[in-house]
Amino acid sequence: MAARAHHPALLGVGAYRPSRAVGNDEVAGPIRSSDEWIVSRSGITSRGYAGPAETLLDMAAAAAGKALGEAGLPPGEVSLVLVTTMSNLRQAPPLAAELAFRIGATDAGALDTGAGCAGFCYTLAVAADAIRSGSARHVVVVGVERMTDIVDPTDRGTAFLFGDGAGAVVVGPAAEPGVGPVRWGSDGSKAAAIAQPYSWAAVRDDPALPAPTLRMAGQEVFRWVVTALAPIATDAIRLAGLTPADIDVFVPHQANMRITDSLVRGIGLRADVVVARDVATAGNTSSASIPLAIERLLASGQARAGQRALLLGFGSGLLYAAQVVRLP
Amino acid sequence: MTRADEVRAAVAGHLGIEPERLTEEASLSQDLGLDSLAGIELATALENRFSLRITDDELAAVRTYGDLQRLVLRKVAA
Repeated sequence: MAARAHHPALLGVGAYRPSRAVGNDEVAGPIRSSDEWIVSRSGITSRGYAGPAETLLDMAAAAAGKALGEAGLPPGEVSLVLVTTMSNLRQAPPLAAELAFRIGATDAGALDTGAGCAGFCYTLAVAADAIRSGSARHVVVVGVERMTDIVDPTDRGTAFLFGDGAGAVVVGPAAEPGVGPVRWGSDGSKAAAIAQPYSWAAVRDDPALPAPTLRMAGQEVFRWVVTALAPIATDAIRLAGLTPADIDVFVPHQANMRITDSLVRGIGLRADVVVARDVATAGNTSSASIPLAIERLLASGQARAGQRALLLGFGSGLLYAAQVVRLP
Repeated sequence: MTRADEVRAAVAGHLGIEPERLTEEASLSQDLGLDSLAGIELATALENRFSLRITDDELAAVRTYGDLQRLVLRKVAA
């Protein structure tokens, strides 16, 4: 009667990066800033902006299709499609259902999840548990964002940081564990630190209001990350039965290069650990940033299949989640 | 080594500079080149080193190295 349970592992990764790369000079104008200031504060030199034809569904399908190709998995064998996003402006239908149909996973379960910039690590944990329990055999996990739809280009705290894109992984059964236990958590006392200042209901009731865009207390968030998250990452390493010295690759949410540098020091990783720095040319793509960064590391040869990677997602909520994976 | 010397050594070590540059009047932003994020990292390092808590308001009021050292010494004594 019981479904057969398996160890979950990453089988493939895929990315979609928008066709238009936007440099700092273009985003600096509306916030009266400069390339030098943006680089010094964030390490970002350019980011991808999706055009009108690069919808969430299109970008998610492109990334998922590449991940399935990398995994060598026919789409009909996908039993669950999970999409995490914070920038879908439409509540119905669930994006995951359209995506499952688009990629040919026509009989798969489908679910949208939302955990802000922590969405990928949260959703990967759900996928891994579905495989462990036997609820699903192959799961597609996609992080997809059009952050340009929810960011105000004149807001000095956010405009230069964010970009668009999609990243996907295929998770499936393996003989050895390839996705470690998750260490996740939240601090809702800081809910206002990364938030829309009012809901769409306010816009419905007062058409004079502009669409709600993301506002971020950048220094408060920076301080939270550099003080609170190193122990979380260390917990995830311990839950995987490892020590920091066992980690080959570090893939934090690509929020800001300064945050990444501070985390590397705080966690005490090996001096030769490979660190994802996709933020430099992708910007902060929220829930898409970790799979996008993994794809870049593998495609560029900086990292290779089988290496142990520490993933650490964090963001609005405030939410965080970390786990150790074997790179596909 | 006095407690003030310990604070100076900790700050110099974190910033990777000679302790002699940490004069009373040295401006954290102008003379030492710290922006707001670097200031937060420094405060966090001092919190961990001396087991104390610096609030955002207290940190925002710090302009010079002298301000910072007095703040830390007051916290350590408390």
